[in-house]
Amino acid sequence: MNFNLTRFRTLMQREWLQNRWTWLIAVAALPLIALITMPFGTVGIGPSGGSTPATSLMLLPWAMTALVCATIAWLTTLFSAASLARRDAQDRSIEFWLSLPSTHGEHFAAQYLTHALLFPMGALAVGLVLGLPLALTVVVKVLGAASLGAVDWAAVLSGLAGAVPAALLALLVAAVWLAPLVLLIMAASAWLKRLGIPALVVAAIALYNLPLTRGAVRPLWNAYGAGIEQIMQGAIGVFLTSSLPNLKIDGDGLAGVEMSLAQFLAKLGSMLASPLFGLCLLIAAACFWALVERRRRAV
Amino acid sequence: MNTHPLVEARNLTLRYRRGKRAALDDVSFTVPKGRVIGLLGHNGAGKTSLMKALVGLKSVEGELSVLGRKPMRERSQLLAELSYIPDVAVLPRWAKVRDLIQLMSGLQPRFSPERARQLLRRTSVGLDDKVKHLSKGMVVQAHLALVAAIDARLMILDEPTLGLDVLSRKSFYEMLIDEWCDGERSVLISTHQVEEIEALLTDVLMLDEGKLVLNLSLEAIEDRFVALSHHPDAAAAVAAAHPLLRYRVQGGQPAALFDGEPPQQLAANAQRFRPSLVDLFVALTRKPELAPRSQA
Repeated sequence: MNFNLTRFRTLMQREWLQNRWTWLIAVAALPLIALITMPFGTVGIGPSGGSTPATSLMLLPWAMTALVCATIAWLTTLFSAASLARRDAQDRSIEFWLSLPSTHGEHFAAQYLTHALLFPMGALAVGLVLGLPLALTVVVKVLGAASLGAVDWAAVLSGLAGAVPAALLALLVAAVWLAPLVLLIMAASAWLKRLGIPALVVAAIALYNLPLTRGAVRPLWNAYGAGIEQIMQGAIGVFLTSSLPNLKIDGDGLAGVEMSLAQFLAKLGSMLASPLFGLCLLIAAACFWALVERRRRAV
Repeated sequence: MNTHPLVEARNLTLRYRRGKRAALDDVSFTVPKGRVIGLLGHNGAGKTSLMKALVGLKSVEGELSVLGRKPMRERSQLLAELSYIPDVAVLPRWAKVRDLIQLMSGLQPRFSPERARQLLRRTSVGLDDKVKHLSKGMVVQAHLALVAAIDARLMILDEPTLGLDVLSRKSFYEMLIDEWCDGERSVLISTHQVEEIEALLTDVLMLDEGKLVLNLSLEAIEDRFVALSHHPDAAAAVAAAHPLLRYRVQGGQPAALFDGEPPQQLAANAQRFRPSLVDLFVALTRKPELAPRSQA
């Protein structure tokens, strides 16, 4: 194994240099549009909006902005996965990169880590920065400027302090859980070029519906999808529980969604200990190998 | 003092899966240190395949050692110790020149950013220029500056000056010889602009259809090959002596190129001169049946 940390960091830096503007625009566009248009529109928080405490009203849009930004980042990664594996061959810079001393494994590992983990984490941070003015605007719009004095900033910050670790943990697990999906898209695209995605879709539909395979594939696919759902729901549940314990959702409180960080950890632990996760790792490793092989034969 | 050759290649053969002929056919040579070696050959002769094999990008049959390493097995370690320009100007279009310096500083341990900036100042390329906004020649200038800033023992250049104007080509070769080559480092350079690099070379490797048809130092070439400029009336006698090549030199004077000493009678009535590398190239790559000789 010929791994070099300096090279690995530089390859991650390359991803940042190459994608920074796309990432910033993708992540910041929505909150910025909301921020710019909000003073001219109306804000509706539901039937109990007017009675929601200023602290909760401050915290809710702030943290939700961060979560939405991280989700947008993940969607950006999923949509760009098909082009990631082929971009250097397409712009012919593959010869330049291959003339430099880095391994194919380092290249793809740095690429995946940056796109699937660091970018969403960065997006979360951007969301936290943009979420503050957005939340202030919401409070002012709903409760009036005078209500800013009623905001309990210590409670807001402690609420965020409880929500952010859950979000980071969810992003970390998502990066592992979604690795087979992203790497499969990348590998299919690397080997089959434009036919990669259509071939994957056709194969998935066939495996899901053919009598011979559907008995095995459907439960696995459903469990895989449920895993993604659990990660998202867990992160939101921890956030709501830690930051907005008194929030009423249609009069039911947090019943059904409340979750402590410990419960979330336990849930993630059971997911990662399942045989399905082992299968995910196997598929991810096979796709990673396929990507390395394709790049090795690129010139 | 280490006198071990920088490159040792024995019986290298490379066949593409669907190709009927070999890209490299039983090629053997060494690259000692302190040499500037020209790798010449027609398009498709196997130059690029050989260079890719040397840097571990193509797998070959036979024995190959570059800087004491097996290129395929130790590609990344090897690339950390040599500098290589592939056959096309292929810098990433999205990057600024400044970004490339930054990235190469992290990826190539022997790269000097100061030296790269110094070399770039001699060109029309700015640090904040984006590659996609540069002309083809400027991209090549930038790439050459980056590669020349690597403190390597071996430089492998595949058509490095393609797309450069004559002044930039001259300037690059001057820098290469005056500043990069220090008697310890070696350069292997492939180009079609044979006349321009002839004066810089110490040795020549000539490939024809994957076979190594010449592997000699420039001094040995001068000793071995003889060119005669003769009177048109002597054409029949010259043809009877079976020269490698019959051609015309400046002024339309007929000339012939011989491998070895020409017949004495012929030489006595003709003017002897040093054959150019281009004439030798034409002669040898038109005669692929000529057996390669060992290095003098």
